Amino acid sequence: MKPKPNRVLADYGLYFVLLALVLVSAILSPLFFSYNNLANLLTQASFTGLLALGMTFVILMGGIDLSVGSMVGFASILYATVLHGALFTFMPKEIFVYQGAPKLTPILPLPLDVLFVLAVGAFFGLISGFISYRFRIHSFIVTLCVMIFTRGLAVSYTHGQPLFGVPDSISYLAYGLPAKIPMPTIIWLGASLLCLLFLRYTRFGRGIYAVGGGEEAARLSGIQPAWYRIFPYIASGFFAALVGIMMSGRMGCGDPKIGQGWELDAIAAVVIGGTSLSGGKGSIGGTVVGVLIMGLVINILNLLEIQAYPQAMAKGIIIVGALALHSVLSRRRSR
Amino acid sequence: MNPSDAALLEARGITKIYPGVVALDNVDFQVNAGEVHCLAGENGAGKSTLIEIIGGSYTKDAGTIRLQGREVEFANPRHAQELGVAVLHQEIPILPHLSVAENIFLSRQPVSGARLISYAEMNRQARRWLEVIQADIDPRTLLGDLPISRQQLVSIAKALSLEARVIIFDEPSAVLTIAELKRLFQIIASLKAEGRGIVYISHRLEEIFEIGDRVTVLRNGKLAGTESIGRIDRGTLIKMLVGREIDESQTGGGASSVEGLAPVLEVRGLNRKGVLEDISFTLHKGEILGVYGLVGAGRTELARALIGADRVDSGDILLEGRKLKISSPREAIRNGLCLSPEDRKTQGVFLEKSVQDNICLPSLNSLKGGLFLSYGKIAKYAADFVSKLRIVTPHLQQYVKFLSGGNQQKVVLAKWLGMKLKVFIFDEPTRGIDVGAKEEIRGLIKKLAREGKAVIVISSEIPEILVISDRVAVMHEGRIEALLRRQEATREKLMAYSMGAKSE
Repeated sequence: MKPKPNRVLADYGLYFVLLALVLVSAILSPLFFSYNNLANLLTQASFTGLLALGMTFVILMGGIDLSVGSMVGFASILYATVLHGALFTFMPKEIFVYQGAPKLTPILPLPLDVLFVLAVGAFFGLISGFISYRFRIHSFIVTLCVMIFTRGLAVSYTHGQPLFGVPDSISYLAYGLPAKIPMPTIIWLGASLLCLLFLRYTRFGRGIYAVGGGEEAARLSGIQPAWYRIFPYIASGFFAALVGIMMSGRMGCGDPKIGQGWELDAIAAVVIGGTSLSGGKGSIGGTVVGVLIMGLVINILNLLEIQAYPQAMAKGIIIVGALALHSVLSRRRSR
Repeated sequence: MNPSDAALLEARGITKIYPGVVALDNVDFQVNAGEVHCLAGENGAGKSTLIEIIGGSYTKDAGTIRLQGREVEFANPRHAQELGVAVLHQEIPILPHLSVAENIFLSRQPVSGARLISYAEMNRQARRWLEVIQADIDPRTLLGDLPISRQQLVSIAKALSLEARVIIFDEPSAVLTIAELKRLFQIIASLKAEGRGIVYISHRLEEIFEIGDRVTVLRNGKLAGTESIGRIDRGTLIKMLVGREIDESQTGGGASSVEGLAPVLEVRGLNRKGVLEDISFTLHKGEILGVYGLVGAGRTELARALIGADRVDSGDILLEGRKLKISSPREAIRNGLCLSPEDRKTQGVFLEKSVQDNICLPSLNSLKGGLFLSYGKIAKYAADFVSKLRIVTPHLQQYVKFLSGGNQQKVVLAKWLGMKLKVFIFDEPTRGIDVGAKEEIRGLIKKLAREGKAVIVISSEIPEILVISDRVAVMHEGRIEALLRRQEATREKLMAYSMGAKSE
């Protein structure tokens, strides 16, 4: 069977869109290809990109995870808490408006504190996945509840205040520039590569596709769905916690209110990347491109000096437009 | 007994009981190496239950299964596959977004040393199995991009790759064209030559005689007999399928003759590719036309086409001499046609709505007081039908899901009765309903006809068809094979025509 032109367009259409956006950006603004702009674009995209990786797992399996934005905020203050070695709930409110250099008494040494927060993120994912699987509640509702709960926990625990005093060592995760490449981008692309290998070259990865594409067919092929159902949420919680730690480093503080609405950016990027919301179809490669497309759209609007709210309007229209186009192309393909 | 003499698969005394129904009653069945054993029986005779048990999907309540003499207990389909029994379901569950090769090797993909999947190796092995059955399919194609016939070839390849000794085909001909079926028969013949045991389920007599070595017939969950194909003829087989209990066909029907009745609905040359073929009939005022056919014969599809739920490729539908252009159920209802669907629970009623809501929904337009809905009128309207049809419900606000099947069916009927419709189509109106309620529903349907409505009743139960119909249309492979008057219709004839036997 020779590929038909439409098929090429449907399979690689995403890359054409990416290319077109790069060209449009370059034409619209001479600043586009400047180092600062590109580094900035990539750094911004990396945070959405990491969330989108976990989200890809979840959506491939046929679920959705709304809790990642809140998890970023919670992980960010949890990390600061571990550094401070104190539970702040019982302290007077004034302590949060901390100006001077804090005296840190970290609970755990450096790699362990990060691992602890990552583990907590993964654990929250495990809870979401387990509840959704065991009690047959749609993940939309379960993760919505986890989202509300986690945000509430983060904000009430710190009285809504940021926790300062995050050391420079962790800021490197957000600001480091080895070989002039932003550190977040290296983490993002590295993680993407690992996820890609995992989903494409392991039986477990293929099992996620299978369960998402048709649970009964998967079961008849000898797959027990439970872990395939739960694991994606663990991955998603893990990546959200990672982003939370990186955000602490970036801002120099733990902020309970960070990450609001980020889950929607991640979902949009995954879907733009061609992953089907009904599960079983999609790829990490697509998600990476989807993230870049989202980043480019925002970048273009920034370069054109469009204000935040009109920018949001434009973003909404562009995302729906891209998906409609994609749907038309792929329907033509299946004929 | 020497294991090599033992049958490949031997099931003895298999019994399966569902609440209130004995689906299988002490059934014996065996498959030898190098044999094609056909399994036949009416709808609901227990064929599916038997193969699901042999395939490990269902558990049995009694009986033993032996593979080459050794007793086995299947925990799940995968377990049965590992022991060499593979079922090719009629509706093959597939993963459309994965490649052909992955569907074959799912959860058993060949891996390299680092436990990473080797796609090259997987595709190579898949290609080899596909070549065994001479299927020219690229293992890298997405399975969802293939037509059903080729998907079936893929599942045969999968069965081979599992080294299945017993391969069960569940009515494959229902989804295949004649040419594709020929290919399948060649493949089956070569599988047989390799010493595998084949179970072939079919409704079609000609297939059974063409491909089978032996045939086992089930009737009402019981074994009606196992015979060598060489020793029986069509007549004997039909007799085995039908049994001797013809006493159920009491006289019934409203009008004994349709002559002189005014035609209401005329259908001319209705075609839908692969589903309906040249369907023509006339339905008269006050007549009940029974439509009989086996599963997949196109009965439900015909009903859906008549009310515009599915598109047709060609053909005309005339209502009282006027040509109709029906493109949606809404139009059909406006023109006076309605359908009580086969799948009552999902398509006939709203389970999570009250009796009152269900009855009144299509008639809400006439239940207004001024601009707005009048709940007084609605309640009265619903209460009327509840008492008229004797729907057993504690009150009008009861959710329909709490009603018995018979009462749910009455709700469906009530829904349409108030709308002054002319043509009523019932698809399996008494399925899943207990005996007493069945009689009541049939009585209501007959009453409709006496009141001058034109009625079509689709049913897979021959006694029901014989009791209720004035005429019977027998469908087979999307065609109306025969249109019989009440007096000519017998159990044997319906059975024979529905299996594609031309008039003998």
